[in-house]
Amino acid sequence: MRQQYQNFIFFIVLATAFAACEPVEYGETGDPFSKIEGIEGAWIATEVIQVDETALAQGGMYTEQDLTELFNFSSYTITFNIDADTMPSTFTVITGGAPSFIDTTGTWSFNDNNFPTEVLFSHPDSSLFTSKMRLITPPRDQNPLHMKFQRFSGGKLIVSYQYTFEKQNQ
Amino acid sequence: MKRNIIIPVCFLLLFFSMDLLAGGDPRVGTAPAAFLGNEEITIYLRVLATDLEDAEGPLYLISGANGGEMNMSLEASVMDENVWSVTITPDEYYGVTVETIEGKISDNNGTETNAFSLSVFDPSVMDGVMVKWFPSTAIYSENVSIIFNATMSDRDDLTGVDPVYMWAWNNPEGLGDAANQGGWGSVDPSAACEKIGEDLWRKDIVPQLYWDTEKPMSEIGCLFRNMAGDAQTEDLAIPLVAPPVTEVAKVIRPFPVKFTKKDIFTLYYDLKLETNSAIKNLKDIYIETSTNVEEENNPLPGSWIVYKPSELERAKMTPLEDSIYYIQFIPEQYYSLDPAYELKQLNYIFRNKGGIVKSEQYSIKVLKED
Repeated sequence: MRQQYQNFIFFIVLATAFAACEPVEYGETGDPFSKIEGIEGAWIATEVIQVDETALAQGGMYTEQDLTELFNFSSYTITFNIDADTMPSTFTVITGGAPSFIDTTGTWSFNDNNFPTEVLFSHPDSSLFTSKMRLITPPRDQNPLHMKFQRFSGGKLIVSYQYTFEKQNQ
Repeated sequence: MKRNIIIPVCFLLLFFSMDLLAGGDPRVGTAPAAFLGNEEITIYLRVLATDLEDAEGPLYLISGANGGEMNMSLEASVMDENVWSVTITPDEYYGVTVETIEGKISDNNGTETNAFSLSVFDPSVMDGVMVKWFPSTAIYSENVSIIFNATMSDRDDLTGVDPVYMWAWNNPEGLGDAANQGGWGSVDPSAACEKIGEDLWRKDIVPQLYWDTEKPMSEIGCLFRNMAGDAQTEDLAIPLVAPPVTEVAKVIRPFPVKFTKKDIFTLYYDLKLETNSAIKNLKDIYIETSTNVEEENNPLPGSWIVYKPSELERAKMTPLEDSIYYIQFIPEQYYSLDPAYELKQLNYIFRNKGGIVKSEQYSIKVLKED
């Protein structure tokens, strides 16, 4: 009787193990999401942090300052437009009285459409980019947009402004 | 009797005046960190939070050896912001067998830091010890020398092995094995230690550079081994810390420390640290300001007393907390600067509304954007 019980337990364990080995079918991974479509639309600033990069590099005590409620940054809006071929086209900044470290109108592009790390802004009169923002995370339609503007002097990064934007009219 | 009182009082005054003249403690280190008197070394002079902070130079190492007079002067080179360096072979430079180096840092105007002292590595400290590291509080971004006494090997005997290699890894931050040391069975020659005595080996590294990382590090994991890897010590763990924060409280504090005329600039003023006692009693603080040197570019020109209320409001500082006041603006807007105007400096005097009580003038550098 005891031998039969042991055989039964062994059979159950074996059956469970075989069932676990059954191949599981996963869905298609699909095409990678488009970063251009991910950034298209109007974005409003929800947080702006000024970072003292010199103090940060030197292990200083005061490295960040929240500017969100100052200088009307919470009204700062940037709109990225795309053309009929889903390629970057124009952009518009509505400062709402806040300072803008980039151009306020012109055309925009990514440094790499598939793996962008920078958004390049060109003044309407210029064929070259005249200002840029660094992407902190890849742009995705349903996620907040994180970008930073970096100020250099003498080849060294001295200050950066880290923006968090939320998509408007989702 | 009176003379008996005057002499100690004079001594006390002299002592306090010398203390006031002291120019702050520099943080001084060497490469290698544990050095011999007969080898070439680089001495790093870190002047942050001393009177020579942000000095444009030239700066000099004024030094002597073995407790003697500090009468040797050597111009230092800029390494980084507030980090200067000199390279010497101590025994040659001082003309004696050096045991200690005493020094201070000075500029051409006589501004000096406090004195510091460095000691040449003494091999006798390794008697009966397998491993020691220098400095004992190792900083992840600065040189650390790990000294191994092979005669005290704790697992396999590495006495007479030449060369000895250091095998290194980092677990707490997940940086793994040091990248350039090769594999266990094919250790890279760069992982070899330097022989500094009979069965005495030194590995001098800057941890962040050795792992090619900018991340803060809290530990070096390492062991010492022969080339084949069939003889080794037990694992060792060397704790690492961040560089010390050396900021000192100052009457004014700009944020950010470095900025251009286009940046948002905040100036903090700490009344507690103000030496003018009349200002300490003020409830409302105003700024009187100008730009550059000997230039009048004051957004509030003319006689302060007859300012319009709107102009006066622009000059008023906002109380923050605990006797700290601040004012915040973008310089090119606040001073209505022409785009071509090169803003190099902002000057401030803190005062009451009527301008009768005034602080000394403080100046802050403004950088040019690339």
